[in-house]
Amino acid sequence: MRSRKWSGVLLAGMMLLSFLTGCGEKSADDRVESKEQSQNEKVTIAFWSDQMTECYGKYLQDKFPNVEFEFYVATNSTDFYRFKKEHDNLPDILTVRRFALKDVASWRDSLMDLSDSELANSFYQFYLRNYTYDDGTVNWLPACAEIDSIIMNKTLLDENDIPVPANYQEFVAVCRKLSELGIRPFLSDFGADYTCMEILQGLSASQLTSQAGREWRQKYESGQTNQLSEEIWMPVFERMQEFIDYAGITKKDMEGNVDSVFEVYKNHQAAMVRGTGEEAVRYSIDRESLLMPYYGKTEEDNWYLTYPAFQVAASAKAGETSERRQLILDIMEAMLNEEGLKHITGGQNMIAYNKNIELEPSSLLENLKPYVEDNRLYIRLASADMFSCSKTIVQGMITGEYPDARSAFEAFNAMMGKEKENAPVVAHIDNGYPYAFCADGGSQAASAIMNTLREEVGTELLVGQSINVAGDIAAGDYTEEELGFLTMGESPSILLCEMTREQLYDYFRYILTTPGMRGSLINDSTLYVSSGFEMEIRRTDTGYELEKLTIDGGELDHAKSYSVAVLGNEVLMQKEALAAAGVMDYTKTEIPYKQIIIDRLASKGKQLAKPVDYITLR
Amino acid sequence: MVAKREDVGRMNSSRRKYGRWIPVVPAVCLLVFLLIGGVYFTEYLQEQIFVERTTQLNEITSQVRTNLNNALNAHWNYLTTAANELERREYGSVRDLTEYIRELERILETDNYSSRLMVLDHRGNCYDKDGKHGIWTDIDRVSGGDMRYTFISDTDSYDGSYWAFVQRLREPIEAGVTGTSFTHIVLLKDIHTLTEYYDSAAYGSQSETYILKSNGTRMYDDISDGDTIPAYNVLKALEGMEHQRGLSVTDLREKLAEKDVVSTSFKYMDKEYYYCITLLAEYDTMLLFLLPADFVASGTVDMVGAVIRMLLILAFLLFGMMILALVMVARQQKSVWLFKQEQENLRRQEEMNRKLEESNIMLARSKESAEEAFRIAEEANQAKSSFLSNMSHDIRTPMNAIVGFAALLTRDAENPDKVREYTRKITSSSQHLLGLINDILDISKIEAGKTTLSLSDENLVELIENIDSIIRPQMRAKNHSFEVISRDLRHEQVVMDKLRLNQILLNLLSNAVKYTPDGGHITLTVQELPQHARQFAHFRFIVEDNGYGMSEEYVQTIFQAFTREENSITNKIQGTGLGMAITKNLVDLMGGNIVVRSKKGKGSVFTVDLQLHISEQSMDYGFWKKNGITKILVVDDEEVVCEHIQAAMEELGVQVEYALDGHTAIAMVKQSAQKGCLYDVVLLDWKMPGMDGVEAARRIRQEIAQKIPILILTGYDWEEMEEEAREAGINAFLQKPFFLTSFRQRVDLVLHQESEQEERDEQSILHGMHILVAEDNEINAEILCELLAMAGATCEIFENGQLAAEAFARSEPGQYQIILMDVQMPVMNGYETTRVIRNSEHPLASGIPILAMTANAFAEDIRDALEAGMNAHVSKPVDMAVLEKTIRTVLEGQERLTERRSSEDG
Repeated sequence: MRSRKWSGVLLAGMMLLSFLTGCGEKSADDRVESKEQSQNEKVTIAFWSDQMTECYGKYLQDKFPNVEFEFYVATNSTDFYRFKKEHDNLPDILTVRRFALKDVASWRDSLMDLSDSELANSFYQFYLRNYTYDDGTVNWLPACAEIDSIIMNKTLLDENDIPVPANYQEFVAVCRKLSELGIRPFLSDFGADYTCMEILQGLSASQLTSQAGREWRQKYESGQTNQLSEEIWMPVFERMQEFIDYAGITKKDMEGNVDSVFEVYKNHQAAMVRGTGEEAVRYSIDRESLLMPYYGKTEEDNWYLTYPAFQVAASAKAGETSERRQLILDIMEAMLNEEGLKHITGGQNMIAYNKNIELEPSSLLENLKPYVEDNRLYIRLASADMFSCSKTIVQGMITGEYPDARSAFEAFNAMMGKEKENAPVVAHIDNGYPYAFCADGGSQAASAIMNTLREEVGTELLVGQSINVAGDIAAGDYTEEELGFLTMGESPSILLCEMTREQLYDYFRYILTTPGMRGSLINDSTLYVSSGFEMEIRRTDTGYELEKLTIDGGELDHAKSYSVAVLGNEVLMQKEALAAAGVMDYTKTEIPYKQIIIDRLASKGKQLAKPVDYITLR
Repeated sequence: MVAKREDVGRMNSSRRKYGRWIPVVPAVCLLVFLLIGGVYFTEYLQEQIFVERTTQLNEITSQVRTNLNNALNAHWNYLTTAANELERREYGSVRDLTEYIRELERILETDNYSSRLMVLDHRGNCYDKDGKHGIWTDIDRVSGGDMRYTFISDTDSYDGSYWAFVQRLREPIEAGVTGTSFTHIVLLKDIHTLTEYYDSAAYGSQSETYILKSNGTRMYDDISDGDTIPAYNVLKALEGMEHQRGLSVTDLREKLAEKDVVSTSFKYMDKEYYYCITLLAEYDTMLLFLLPADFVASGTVDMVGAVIRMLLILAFLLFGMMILALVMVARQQKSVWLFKQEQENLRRQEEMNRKLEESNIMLARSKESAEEAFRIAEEANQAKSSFLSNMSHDIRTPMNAIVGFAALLTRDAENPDKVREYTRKITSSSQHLLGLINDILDISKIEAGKTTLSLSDENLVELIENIDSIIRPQMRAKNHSFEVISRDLRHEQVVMDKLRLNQILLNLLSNAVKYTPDGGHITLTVQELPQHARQFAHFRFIVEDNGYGMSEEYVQTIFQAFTREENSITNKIQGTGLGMAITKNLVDLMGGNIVVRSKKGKGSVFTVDLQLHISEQSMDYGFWKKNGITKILVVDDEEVVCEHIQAAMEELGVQVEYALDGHTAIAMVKQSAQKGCLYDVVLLDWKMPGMDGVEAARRIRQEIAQKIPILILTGYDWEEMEEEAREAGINAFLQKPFFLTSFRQRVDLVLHQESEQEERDEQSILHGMHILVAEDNEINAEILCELLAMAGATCEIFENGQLAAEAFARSEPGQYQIILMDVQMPVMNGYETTRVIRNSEHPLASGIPILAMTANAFAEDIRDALEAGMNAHVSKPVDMAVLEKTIRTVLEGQERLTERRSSEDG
């Protein structure tokens, strides 16, 4: 009893001492424990393009093996994320290529503020300033810069003794010479809004970067004006009008796509195309090509056009706890560090925005060095309005709707000044479906879309990748634009063919095991979706292995040839996949994937087909 | 006493037990004081240190701010000079311009200040003395349309970071015919050369300086690896830090609107830092100085640390001394405790001895008590034996008389005189025997605690009058003079058990009659004493006689049961010895008190005090006003009586004039008649000197024509003078003493012309009645039949209730006028039979009077009868007078009820 009394007194004394000196620290073990809690988290990442499935997604999954990533390909628009935000369904990490700070300012509070992070500080302030709001908030960070340029077939020019132009006058002369020779001087997919916009701005980069041009741009970007300055922009439209004439741009150029354009270019039917350094590599044209700037009056006025490969942001919800915020920042850091950037396009032909990162340019960019040193890299003005107006007006100029620069300029301004009307509701989706992948059944959202697509194309079977469906499908009213948000923004083709049981097995063996293609598997969330039949797939140490394909639980008929629709990128994967299965003959649907889904829901007024359990993953 | 000692012992024990801990209390208090004081003092010191540190930081930063502001202003002056010089000249080529820049730099000694001059052309290219350097990295920052820009540039053109002062030229400078026009002049100042303005020597190399935009973002890329806050937006990063005291970042930014410099502290990675921010709004620039807490006001902190250490040592010393003191006190307490323990043992020994002695005393007392109890028991036994002996005697005596006279009756049946005599004696003996039996039953019930009071609103005056009417014949029989005296009676309507109070007073008065020699004087005084409780009235009933009196010894035991004073006189008087015991018990039951004073040969005085609840049923105070009686004349030779009546009546709003003799009264009546304000009532005493009341009445009637009511007030029997009084014109008689209720009733009677004479002339109420009788005892039934026949009534007897009920059900309405119902009967008892009759469908089921007729005469028996639906109760053996009176009361009540209903219906 006595000892207890004295120990009590001693304890009280120790308490006094601890009060006076200040004790009680969090142990190192506690910190370790809290860090471990961040493992095995589920993180959703929306890719701006399916090109990120080639290497980038796999890189992230390998980098964070304990994170369960859920990937899908988003429509490449910040409006897509605004739509997702309105349905409280933002992914944890957002990526988008088309970006203007003014387009996302209205819902900035839904995003994580990165300004106090070390990650933000790793960027050159020269670039970071473009992403900083007046109050110092930074939500978006850019990945490395794409170089947008005039890709010129030097071999073709050499063959025709045509020198590489050094300025605008020479460029015009070369174009005319090539036309005389029966070679298309310049080709691009004018059906795409970005092509119209980039060529419009690129051809007048020196005009737009003049003192007056810069001052107008600052006014526009800060919301002080939504009208083009005549002083600055009339010359821009005049030059575009000239270009359409001497380059021989016609209405037919609005029908192709990027694949067809590069196909023509590779066939030496066109001498120049608009393209990025990344595209030059992807379409394997780098050996005979030069990446030339957009030409100005003098060589001093030549500018390359650049823009970030994509921007990255995180939803505010993703950072609600400090542990999860740190995990998200770690993933974003991995996305934007040197290793991550190298996985975008093999790290070539891009310029880093981050400090201490040097991306090795290929020989293709030899011409670029002096431009980089002189800082003659024009960053495109890429607001949503600019995209849509440029497409309409440039296409109008090509078709003759706007016969001169003045009418084009005025029409552009009229479009810019036009108040946006609320788009009408065109469809109502009765049932929402989650995108999350389930080993015993698959993704309900993906299954609903694929079943719908199969019903529309009328084949017995259909195969497509789940990432072609843009996340959860919410029930409710939809405008036409919002219906477009259900499926990925890039335009995968729908290839129609006949396949036997064995061919189907061969096809699946290819797509399940081939890496580095546009449509290669990253993890469970990117697995293919079957419609009209079921798959039994087994996880292996290296990836996935097909066990069985069944229809309504029964084996496929050995003697039968099935009509099959394959949804995916034809050039960059599916053509090879079908070839591997011995399918050489196939056709493509005329109506694109996205439009088929929109038409089904809007024009036909039907609902999405019901999802089914299409996969058993062991 | 013993228990009290034990309590004290326990208290001492617990005091000793807790007393040991008393010294610990100051120690604990000291410890608590040290803890709380220590915490408070430490907090106070920390706060003071914080204030000291922030103040010091603010002062130094304020100085730095001024220096930097001056330096920036100086550079602007410098640039303005250069711009003026540049604009003053014309240039044939770009080269001319760059050469002049070189010249300007030489003149302005830019090298000495680590500065350089640049110009920007309209494309955004920058030029210095060495020529063109391509598009300026910060070209977008000077494209806002302003004339001046100040910022920090990480230009690619030169290594390092520079404060950039950019001024737009008033007019672009054209350099030759190249088409190149120059729009801006730029002064670049190596940022490190400005360090002297904002690095304070006071902190050595420990401080970090962050040059930020006002939104908290860094102004340039040159970030040291050692930066504590490696974030792009430093203020946002600080918002996430733990600010223990002082202002948060948000608060600081708000404060900056009022003050040039503000400071606070935060904790990061378990280390405390202080920082101070100051805003150079003109340049959209914010300076943030950050340094570890250890390097801010370190001298003050060291001093405070020394004080805290000193205080800690003192605190521990104090605490140690207190512990030592505690040990010593504890030891001393132990010695004291041992000493007290011995003392306690001694005390306990003494206590035990004392308890033993007390036990002995208790034992002795117990023995005495036991002996006393034995003695009392013996006495009780003897008393009971004596009582039984007396009872034996008392019961045998009337029984002998009854049996003997019955035998004689048989023998002398032919002799009417003998028969009458024997019958009278048999009746007397029977009555005595009945009283004896009633008393025995009563006392046994009271002693068994089964008696309950049956309380109801009653009129005390009516009770007294009833008693008077009962006892007065007995008084007359023994030639006693009997007087009822009323004193100060203010409340006549009270809540009481009328039967029991009747019993008490009759017992006392009967005793007085019995134990007073013939010709004695007996008074009953009813007095209301002053009472404080408003709901209760205190009544005193005094029965006084001048009889035999009692010995002092007997007075002590008079209220004990089975006692009777044995002497030659009283032995001849019939009595059970239970009357006084019953009386005492009933008074006790009513919460009252009875005392007796007596003196042998002089008489006795019994005084009963009762507190009775005043009835909520108020008297009909409006009676007098309603009948137009506002003034009366009272005539009595005793002025006290007159005043008493005057006081009582005037409370009711009736003016009273009085006269003390008949002559004066007549004169007053005449005078009032002449004045036209005749008295409404005249109340005359009978016996008055000179002219008695009757004569006075006669004279009044002669003198005045008006038939005013004249009432005579007398203590004598009305019968003696009724005839004469009626002749004299007296309307009614009022028994003394004067009671308001009686007076009102008589006046009411006179006013409604119901003469008592008519009442008296009535035949027996039973005359002509046909009565249904339920009685199982043949003898009783026979006697009853005879008695009813004597009263002129006929009856039908049924031997149980069921037969009676069936007979009633069969009867024609009006066949039976009343039903007499025995209670204890075979097959169906009287209560049940009554319920059957009342619930039957016979037209008179609810109306026919049913009277209980039972030997059970207790209050609860009466109550049970009434609850069963009977109208009244008469006890057996049946007294015809009582029966007639009861029937009359019931019938009259029914008549009144019928009248009231018909008037209400009308």
